[in-house]
Amino acid sequence: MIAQPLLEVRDLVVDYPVPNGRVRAVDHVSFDIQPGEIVGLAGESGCGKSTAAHAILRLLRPPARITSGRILFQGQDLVTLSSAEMRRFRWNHISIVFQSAMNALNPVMTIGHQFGDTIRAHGETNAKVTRRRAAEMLRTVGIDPRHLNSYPHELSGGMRQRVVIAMALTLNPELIVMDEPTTALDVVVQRDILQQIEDLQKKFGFAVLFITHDLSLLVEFSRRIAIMYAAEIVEFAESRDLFRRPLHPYTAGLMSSFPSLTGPKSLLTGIPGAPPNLFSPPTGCRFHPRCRECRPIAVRVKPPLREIEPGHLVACHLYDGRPASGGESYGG
Amino acid sequence: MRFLVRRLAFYMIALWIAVTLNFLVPRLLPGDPATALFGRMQGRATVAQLKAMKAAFGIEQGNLFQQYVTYITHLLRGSLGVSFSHFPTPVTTVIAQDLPWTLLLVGCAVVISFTLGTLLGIIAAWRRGGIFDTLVPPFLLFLWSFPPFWVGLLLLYVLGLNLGWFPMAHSYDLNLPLTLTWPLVLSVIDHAILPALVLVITTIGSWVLGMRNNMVATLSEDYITMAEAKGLSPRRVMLWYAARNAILPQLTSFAIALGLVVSGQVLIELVFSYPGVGFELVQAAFNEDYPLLQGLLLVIVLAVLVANFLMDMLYAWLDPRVRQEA
Amino acid sequence: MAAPDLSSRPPSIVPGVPAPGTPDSRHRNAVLAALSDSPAALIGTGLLALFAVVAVVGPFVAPYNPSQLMVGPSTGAPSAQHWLGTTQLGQDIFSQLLVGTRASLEMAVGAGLLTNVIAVTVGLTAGYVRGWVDDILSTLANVFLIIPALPLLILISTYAAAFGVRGTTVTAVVVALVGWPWGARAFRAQMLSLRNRDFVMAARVSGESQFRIIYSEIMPNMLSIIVANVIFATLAALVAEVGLEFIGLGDTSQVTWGTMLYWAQTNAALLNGAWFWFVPPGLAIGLFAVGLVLTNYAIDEITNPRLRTLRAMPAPAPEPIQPQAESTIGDSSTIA
Repeated sequence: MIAQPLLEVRDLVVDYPVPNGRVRAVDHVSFDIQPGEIVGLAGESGCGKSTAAHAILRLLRPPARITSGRILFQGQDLVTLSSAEMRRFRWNHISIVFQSAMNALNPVMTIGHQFGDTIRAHGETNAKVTRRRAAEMLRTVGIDPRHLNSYPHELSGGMRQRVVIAMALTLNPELIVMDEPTTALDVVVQRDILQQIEDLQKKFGFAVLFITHDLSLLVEFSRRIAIMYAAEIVEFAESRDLFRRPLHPYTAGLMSSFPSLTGPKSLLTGIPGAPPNLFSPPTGCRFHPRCRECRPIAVRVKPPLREIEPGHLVACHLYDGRPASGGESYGG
Repeated sequence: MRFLVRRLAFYMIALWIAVTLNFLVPRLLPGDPATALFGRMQGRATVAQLKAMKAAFGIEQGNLFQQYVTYITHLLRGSLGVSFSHFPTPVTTVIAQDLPWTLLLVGCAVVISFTLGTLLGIIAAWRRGGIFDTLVPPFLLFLWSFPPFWVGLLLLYVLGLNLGWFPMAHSYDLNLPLTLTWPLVLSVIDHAILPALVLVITTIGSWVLGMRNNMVATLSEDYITMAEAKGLSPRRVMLWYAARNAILPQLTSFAIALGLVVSGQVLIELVFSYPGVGFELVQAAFNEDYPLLQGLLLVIVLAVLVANFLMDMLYAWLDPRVRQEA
Repeated sequence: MAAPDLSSRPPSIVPGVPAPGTPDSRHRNAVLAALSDSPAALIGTGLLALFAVVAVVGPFVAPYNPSQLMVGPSTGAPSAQHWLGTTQLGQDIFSQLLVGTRASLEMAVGAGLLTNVIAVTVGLTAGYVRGWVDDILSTLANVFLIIPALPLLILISTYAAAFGVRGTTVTAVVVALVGWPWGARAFRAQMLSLRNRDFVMAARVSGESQFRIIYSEIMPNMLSIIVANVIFATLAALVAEVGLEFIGLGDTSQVTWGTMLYWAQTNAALLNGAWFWFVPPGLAIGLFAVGLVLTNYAIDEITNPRLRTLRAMPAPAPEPIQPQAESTIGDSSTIA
């Protein structure tokens, strides 16, 4: 990757203090997003992907805290910004679409007011201009601007999600984080929304960090995918490579967990066991208790995330023999 | 809107139950209502007056149902009977003299307590875990634990008797004529401060804690995170996103809280000899003035229901989800 | 519209933390640890214990017969012989307080339990059976909630007195008849949420009788909420009884906290400067209330570990701490 990345997360660590110690929800996570690129972040519930997303926008609720690491946006480290600076930064450059749109909208405020809030908070004072922009955003996602006077509960689920997406676009951010934007919707509407997002992305050119537990959604959608397991990134590659040849046993297990509509019948295997307790995770490689190809060294030593093939990073002792290609290596 | 119509129907039922309770209780107790309740009036009232009073009470010839009908008819005509202790003044006249004082006191106290309490609750939640939050709600709750009338006695003793800062009885200086003049208004305020203060001190704790807890729960909602993500100022998020939603459960608990305030009010009026309906109620009980007693209860219930309905209208205005029957 | 339930919302998402409440000795020690950790819990249970002791031994250690007249000067200030002074009729106030504690607490606890029996019956029935039975019971409960309690109590007590029905038991019964809706509403709500759980379905399918399902399967799951309501009902009963006694509608021949205040008031203790007459009973009531509230809070903490204060531990040394300016809205610690 030669061009400067839009977002570069380096060794991010997020902790939740608890009475007897701490839970490390994000453990030295590193990845990057290029301008205009769609990157997927996949993993089981509780693996830390939502926490990582919240951390990027510095939205973590106390007692959660960023213990260390850097979040570089166009070279600037977001972790060091003051809260006032961060407030100006938010939504302008990075916005977020939440999972459940119903919960993301203030139930006692009209849609128009909620748009207006954002626009006004970032400097615009003219009421007419504000309203025009809000109407424009609604039209972009295919909603009648008359709904500016509606309350969230008066709209359908799909409409609400599109409103939330429209809100995310309002200030023309360079990056939109989407935290399971379609999980709460039924399959038909899901398709619609994904198509909408794709169209908007082509039109406006923003980058997307798409977080989901449903790997199948990311297949055609994202260019690169990062797989998270137990607060760590275990594999990061271009989607094509990941699907044709998943290197990490966990990724391979995820792939075999959903059937394909075409091709010969294959055995659905799934992954035995359950995700680990982040308060006291397994030693060495965190996946080792559930791994069918576990090597003895994996029990003691945590594998670093290394670039095994060009553009394909994986953290697994199965590839210890192979030299790292390229200079990419994220410490662990 | 259907919401308000349903509430109205409920209040009608509540009123009807209160009225029926009034009718039934004397009949459920062992003994003859006529003798027990009206015995002392024999000889003091004319036969016709006695008959009218018994009718207003539903103690008449005829079976239970007929008595009930007579009772209801009298109520609907606005006749609550004649007071024993203020004989021959009708009950409605007695109550009409007392009601304004109570409304003044309770009205002010409740408004101040609710508003101030809610604001303090918002502040406590804003800096959750801070000094304000750690000290103030428990302190106010501590005040709430003591019987309001006792706090009244205490304040009366310290501020009224020992320090002489406030008058100790009545709602205004009895030497002044009851006309709308500036000295009278000042006197009224002067006499109302102490009882109102007691009411506010002892009830504010639950508002503060309630609002604080509502805020804390609301603050964990996704739309708050979304609001922060949008780059809105903390003040805007606190007020327009958090407090605006957190105040809704506060309003629903207002209905029940009002009942408690009225109950506390009764004893405070007694302690301060404040001539409102509460004071009258206690006197009526002491004097075994049953028509007055019954009339006071019905008026109190009616007032509470009206206040509740006003609150319901406020709630419907504030919560758009309720306006269309969801 | 129900208030948001704080107990169901943790302050932040905590992935990977094991479910608390494992049934073994570690848990029991955790309970004791939680109790001794929280100053509120200690004070609360301490106060209640103190009152319990006084209630039991009070009448035996009282220096004088509380009702006996002229054991000291009329309206005498506190002195060595009379720690809390004497009443207008020369009765020892300290003795009255000791003896009155038992009477007041007996009534309050009795009424509190009775209220709960009614509330549990009504609440569970309404919540389980639903339909028109539920509609009627709920409406009835709401009506009694909206009608101010004390005026209604005064009315009923005065009528009762007219018919010669008086006494402390009557007061307790009347209070229970007016106070049941509070608990009933809470129990009904809990029943509604529990009745659709799997274990209830399983019991129904296996043919258990309705009665058994309600009382053997569902009720044990409601223990904490029942205990909380008993505490609340006891407090409410005490307040109601004291109110009635203060007016003079209780049994004025008996010595209770409320009747002490009644006599103090009718004998113009205030105007005579006899603060020692009306301050102690009121103080006793208040402290008992504080004890109940804090104990209730302590029980809440134990049964719902997520409400416990999350005390932040310092991060392990090697990581350099980055400058923070996180979401400034909201902090983690709960009320002390």
